[in-house]
Amino acid sequence: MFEEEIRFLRKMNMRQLAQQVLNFLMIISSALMVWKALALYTNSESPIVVVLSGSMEPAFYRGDLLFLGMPDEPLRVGDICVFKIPGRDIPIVHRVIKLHDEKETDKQYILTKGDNNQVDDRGLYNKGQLWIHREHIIGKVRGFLPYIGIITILMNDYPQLKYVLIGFLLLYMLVNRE
Amino acid sequence: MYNLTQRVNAIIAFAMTVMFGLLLSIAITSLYITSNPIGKVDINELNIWLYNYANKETEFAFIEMNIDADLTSLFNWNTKQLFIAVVAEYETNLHELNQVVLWDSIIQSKEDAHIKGNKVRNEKYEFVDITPSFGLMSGNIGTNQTIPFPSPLNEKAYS
Repeated sequence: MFEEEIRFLRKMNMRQLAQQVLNFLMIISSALMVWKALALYTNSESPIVVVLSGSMEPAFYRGDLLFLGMPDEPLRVGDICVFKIPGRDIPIVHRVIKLHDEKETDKQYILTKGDNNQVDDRGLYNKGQLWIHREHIIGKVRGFLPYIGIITILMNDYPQLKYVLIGFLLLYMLVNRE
Repeated sequence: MYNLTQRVNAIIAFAMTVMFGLLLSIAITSLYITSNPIGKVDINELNIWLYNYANKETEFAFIEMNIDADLTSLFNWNTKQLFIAVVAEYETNLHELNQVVLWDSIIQSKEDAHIKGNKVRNEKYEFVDITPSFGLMSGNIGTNQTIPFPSPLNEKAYS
């Protein structure tokens, strides 16, 4: 089934090849632009995240896709939010269970907990850290789509899969003719 | 003219379009389904004890309450679960708003959505957060009740 494609590749001259490469770069840059535009629109540094742990089961399972937004109003108890602890790369999706709004500064003291965890997140925070604040929050969960993110998890678990997939896409783009 | 890969590609693309169209219409229509959840929380017992916590005399509240709530109407074709919680909301000198979850529970089926929790341990506000099977998250729905806070029981022992 690939003979036709190979023949097509051989037949291509430099100009056609450059055209295909440009097309490919075009697709990548538009995807990046859409992502960044979405980040600007939602005011969240990563507007779409994949659930990586089972700590919010049965609401969210590993591999579910979450759409985030940054609310203008302050957070409230019961909101499911994504936050990042300083010094750690992986954001956490958990529910706000305790909250204190300071009168003078409007600073929020937030304590979170995963629905599936027995205890609150103080053990997950940095040593001695009792609360998280608004600056740690990446976004509040606005929408939810199950299963779709499982590809990301598979690619994280098996890095080879990532290269195979990217290589396959590259090849497909090159031999694809419109 | 049409080879196997092209046919497979066309079928998958069509299936995806139909699936996402269906998901979108369910997500949008479920926003317009009305519901009338009712809930009541009665406090059986509310005791305040003073304990020494981190070298500071601290008030601890022990609450026993009866919860009667009918949330069956919140279950529609796009409800995955309800997160219900009894939240104490109060104001102090330093903080204009404090919210603390006293009790919570997750309900996953319509049959379990009529809650009659007697003598549930550990005030005044109850809320529900709906997680859809997919699509948009519904906001918080709550009922308000104000309960006066009694004075500590073992006040004399410490003063």
